Formats: sequence, C-alpha cells, structure tokens
Amino acid sequence: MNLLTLFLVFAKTALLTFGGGYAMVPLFQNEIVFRHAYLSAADFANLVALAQVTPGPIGFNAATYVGMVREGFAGAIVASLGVAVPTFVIALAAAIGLRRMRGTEWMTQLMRGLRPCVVGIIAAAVVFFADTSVFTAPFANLLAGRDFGICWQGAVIFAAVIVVHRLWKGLNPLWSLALSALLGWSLFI
Amino acid sequence: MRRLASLGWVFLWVSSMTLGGGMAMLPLLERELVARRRWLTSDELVETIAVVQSLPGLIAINMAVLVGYRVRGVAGALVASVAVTLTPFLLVALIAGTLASLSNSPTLNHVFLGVRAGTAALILLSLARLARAALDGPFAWTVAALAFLAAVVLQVDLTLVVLIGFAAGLALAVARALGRARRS
Repeated sequence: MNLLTLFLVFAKTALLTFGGGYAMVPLFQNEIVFRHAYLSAADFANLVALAQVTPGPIGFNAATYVGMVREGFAGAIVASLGVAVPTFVIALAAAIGLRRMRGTEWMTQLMRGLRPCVVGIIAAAVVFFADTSVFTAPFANLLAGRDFGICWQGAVIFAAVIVVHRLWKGLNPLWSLALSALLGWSLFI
Repeated sequence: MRRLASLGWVFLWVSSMTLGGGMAMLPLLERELVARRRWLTSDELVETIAVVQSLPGLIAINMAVLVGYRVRGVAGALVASVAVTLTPFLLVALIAGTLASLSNSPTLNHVFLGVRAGTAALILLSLARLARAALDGPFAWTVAALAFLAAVVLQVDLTLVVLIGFAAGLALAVARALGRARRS
C-alpha cells in the first residue's frame, strides 16, 4: 500500500458521505475494515471510541488514525488531506455559488423553507448528544415503547448547564463545558 | 489581515474545545460569530447549516469553508479549514503514535459523558435563540417538526432530511410565483 492509495481511499469515502458525523461510521468501516483491511474490526471499534473523546469530526479522526498506524506521520498527513481536500473544494464551490444566488426571489423563498428544517435538524442534534449521556437508551426507543431510561448524572449536568446560562446571560459556553466535565467526574464517585 | 487572524483563532479554539465534530461547535461558533463579532446574523448561520448539511464530506470543514468564505473570501475559507483541523490532527496523530487508549479509562468516560450532556444542553440553548427568527408561523413549525421526527424517529439520513426543507422552500417559491401571475 502506498500513500497515493491511502489518499484516494479517504478522498472517495469523504465524497460518498453526506450528513457528516456518525452517518460516516458504517461507510468508513466498510472501506477501512472490509475492503482494504487497514484495521481489524476490534481496532475500528476502538477508533470510534477514541474519536468520541478527541476533538474534531469523526471522519477526520479516523483518517488521521489509520494513516498514522499504517504509514507513520506522512501517512497521517496524506490520509487527513484525503478527507479534507475534496470536502474543501466542494464547500468552496458551494460558497461561491451561494453568493451569486443570494438575494434572488427564489433563493429567499427556498431559505424560508430550509431555515425551519435546520431548526428540526439542530433539535435532532440535541437528542443525538443526549442519547449517550442523559438517556440510557436512544430517545427513539421511548417513542417506540421499547427499553428507555434516564441517567441521573447526565440529567443533572444537562439541567445545571441550562440553569447556569439562564442565570448568567452571555456566559462563555467554555465555562459550562468545564463544569460538565467536573460534574461528570464527581457525580459518578 | 487582522480579521483573517481572528477568523483562524476562532476556528482553532472552538474546534479544540469541543468533542463531537460539527454540531458540537455550534454553541461556541454562534457566540463568536453572531453575538460577539457580528460576522453573521443568526439567519445567516442557520442558512449556512442548511448548506453544510446538504454537502458531502465533513460538517466541521464545510462549516469552516462557508463561514470563512463569507467573512474573508477564499483566503478566509483556507485559514478557517486549516484552523479547524489542526488540533484534531495533532492530537490523534500523537495518540495513534503512542498507541495509548484513552477510551478504556472509566474516569475519563465519566468526564466525557458529562461533556456530552453539557453539549446537548448548550445546543438546546443555541436552538432556542436560532429558532426565534426561523420559526415565524405555523408553516415553519410544521416543517421543523417534520424534520425533527424524520431525523430522530425514522432515523433518516440528514442529507435527505434537508430535502424536506428544499421541498418546503420550493412550495413557497411556486406559491409566490403563482400568486404574482394571478395578480398581473
């Protein structure tokens, strides 16, 4: 395996991924574990766990990790560029196209439809993060009448952050993230 | 130049301080870009997310490119994307290199559970602010509810969920065009 293949594999995987985040996981698993056997299934599971505790997008973390493990630092750079470059080029083309169309009547109406849709998507992101912290099982289970529960520590932290921001308007969210980490550590003792 | 530097700084530290990629950065980005620096209005931030969700690739990089381009053109897009990926790259390369596994420590898992719960709360607070402008009537509320249910209950791919918004927007545009044709 050489650096070029590594670049191409990650470029292709990034281009095929829509929606970002954990939507990427099955696709990456397919390429990394099954098609190219860069990692074993167990190592891939560790990688997903690692990606949850490191900053940055999971697809990017996966690329850096595989590149580093397989080909060292050069591999890490090449694989990371593999996911980043195609993403960058397409997003830039979209940004330029968007600027051209801004202000037209059709665009104004289209955005009136898209904005509330995004509000729904952001609400879904709240559930996504709560699913592995505030709840003990995915929120969808509650609606489907399956197993569901609340992790009290997660619920306390969630409520604490809301209350803190209600009391101190304009507080930097960094402080409440630090508070969340501290509470996460202390409430489980 | 000054603006380029602060653009890079915002994306560098926001990506360094958040776990979970694109959407986890939303509360911090909203504060920096909308409330403090006024580079975007909250409507423009919501529109950016709509575009970001319908493009292939990584949400965080898409977000950096779209915001960077709006603020400072192609140079802005480049600086913001490098800034958003720098810390994740160095950290994972370091961890993979030393083969240490952070995820096996129960204490750290509890800390990160706390951070995820806090992130959920922060996104909800951002949502409350962004929704005020975006949800301007029963039509908008219906679209938002449909998108939420499709994403959470039916677990539809988010790119397809964006199509709900496109369909709603097209319906509004067509209705507007028909209304105008009838009047003239």
